[in-house]
Amino acid sequence: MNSLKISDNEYALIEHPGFANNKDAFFQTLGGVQSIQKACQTSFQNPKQALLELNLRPKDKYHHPVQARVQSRNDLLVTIKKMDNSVQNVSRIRQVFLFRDMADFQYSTQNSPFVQKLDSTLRVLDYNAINKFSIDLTPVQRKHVDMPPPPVFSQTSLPMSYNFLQNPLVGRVRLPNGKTTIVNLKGQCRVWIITTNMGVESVPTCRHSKLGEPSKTIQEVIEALKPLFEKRPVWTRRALLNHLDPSYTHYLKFALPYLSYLWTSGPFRDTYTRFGYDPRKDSNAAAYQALFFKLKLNGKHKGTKTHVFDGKTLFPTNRVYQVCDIVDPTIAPLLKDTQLRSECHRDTGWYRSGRYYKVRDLMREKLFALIEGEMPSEVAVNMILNAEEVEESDRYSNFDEQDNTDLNDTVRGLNTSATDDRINDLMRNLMKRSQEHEGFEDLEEIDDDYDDIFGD
Amino acid sequence: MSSNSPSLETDVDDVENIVFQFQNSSLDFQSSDDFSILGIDQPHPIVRIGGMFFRGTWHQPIGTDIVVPSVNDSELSRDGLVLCKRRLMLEQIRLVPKNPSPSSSIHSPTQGEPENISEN
Repeated sequence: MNSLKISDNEYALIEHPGFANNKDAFFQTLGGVQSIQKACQTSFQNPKQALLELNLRPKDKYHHPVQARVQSRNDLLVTIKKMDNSVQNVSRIRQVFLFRDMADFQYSTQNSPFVQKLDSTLRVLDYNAINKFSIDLTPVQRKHVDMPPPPVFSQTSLPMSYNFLQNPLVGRVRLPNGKTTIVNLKGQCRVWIITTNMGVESVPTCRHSKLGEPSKTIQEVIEALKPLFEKRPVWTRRALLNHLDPSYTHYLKFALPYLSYLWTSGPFRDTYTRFGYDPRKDSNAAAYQALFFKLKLNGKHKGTKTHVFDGKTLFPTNRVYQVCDIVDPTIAPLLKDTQLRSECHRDTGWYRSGRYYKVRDLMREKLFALIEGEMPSEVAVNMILNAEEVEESDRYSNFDEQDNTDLNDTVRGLNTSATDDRINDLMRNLMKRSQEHEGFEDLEEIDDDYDDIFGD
Repeated sequence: MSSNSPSLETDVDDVENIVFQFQNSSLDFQSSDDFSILGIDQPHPIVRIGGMFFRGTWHQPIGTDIVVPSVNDSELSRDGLVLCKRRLMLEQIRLVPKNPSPSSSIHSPTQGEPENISEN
């Protein structure tokens, strides 16, 4: 092995994108040997002051060069004899000139009469030639403007680093037919539940067209749900879970779209109804109406998992109660021993508004007391019970707060003139939209998985 | 026999100038370190600098590299600039002896060191 010492000589390196077929022309693209030497010497003393420009057309005065950037290096320059591959000299390379900037736009002034006149009169630095220079002040069209190009067209010298990145949740999945497809691994499964509201003409009679054939496990859940829906056509999810085997809990929401549709607003809100059954046309459906409460829950509350309300036991996460599941001895008789409407109402269903709101106030009073860990106050309960039931025009309430429905009824009672009628219509329209919005918000609070329902 | 002349000969047909570039730019070697190269015509030459060993990979840069001396009182002529057409990228490696017996160590008559193999 041939060994020798590294010499003290230091060098600067210039990365030139061209080839040295003609040495003179090659070095001229960097300004000549003197410019190269000056720039390299400056790079050792003050690297920021070193100036080296790459000019591929040295004779073009209007060519926009590319600036070099100086970096420190610690490389070696090795001189090797070709005859015997022996090392003749080893030196260090301390600075390097890199051309990494983007080239500016190129502009040709070959066919510009003004530039030619400018070059022949002013650039030659001849006193007599200056007299021949003149500027034509005749107005010209914009596209015919003739002038030298500016020193720089584009101020963006460094290229943009566009670091494209595929969605990290996307993965490749091999299909049974051997092909590979790209899917969102974290995307939610579509449930394809059919939703409806009180304004529809007819209720759905069959499942969603995009719903595929159920898997074996989902088919088992469907078979378990059929007798339940035959016996009782309207259910809440909580009630179904309490009637099913616990192992079916995860598959329930995938099985329901095969048997039922979902009400998103109105007196049957958040209930799953058997296909073809219209609770708006059957007064027996009054027992299946749902009452929804905005309970302020926290983790401290504990209770048995039940969908039945008995006035004493509280399951903190249950927000929707059906009339047939209310067994409270104070409230249940109010729902059974009452005269129903002849037609299903948009908001209160088959119950008259006076009785409906009284029951709701009683439920709210009891639920709020149970949440606070107390038994409902008998004074408050009796006050609500003894309150007069007012139909559709106004109602007496023990609470100061009034929700949108109360305001709706209040506005409807002021039917005294045509102007008031118009105002009432506007208010009802506003309340209706507000309730619809309210319903969607509450659905998302109940179960995060509901997001895909509205994605249909 | 090796030539230790500090002057750099011109780029004529009998010599070739090669840029040796280090992947680890934080390496710092002194000017008095020994330099040896083994297998200059192989795809992966082995380079020793002081106590460090490197494995080289040949690279063909875009265009041409110009190497310019830093200190020069006189003006450089066209031939004073060195042109390099290929580059050797060096990656530091760790040498492990094949046999632990001392008889397998390499002994060079041109150096006074008993063995060349060291581990970093």
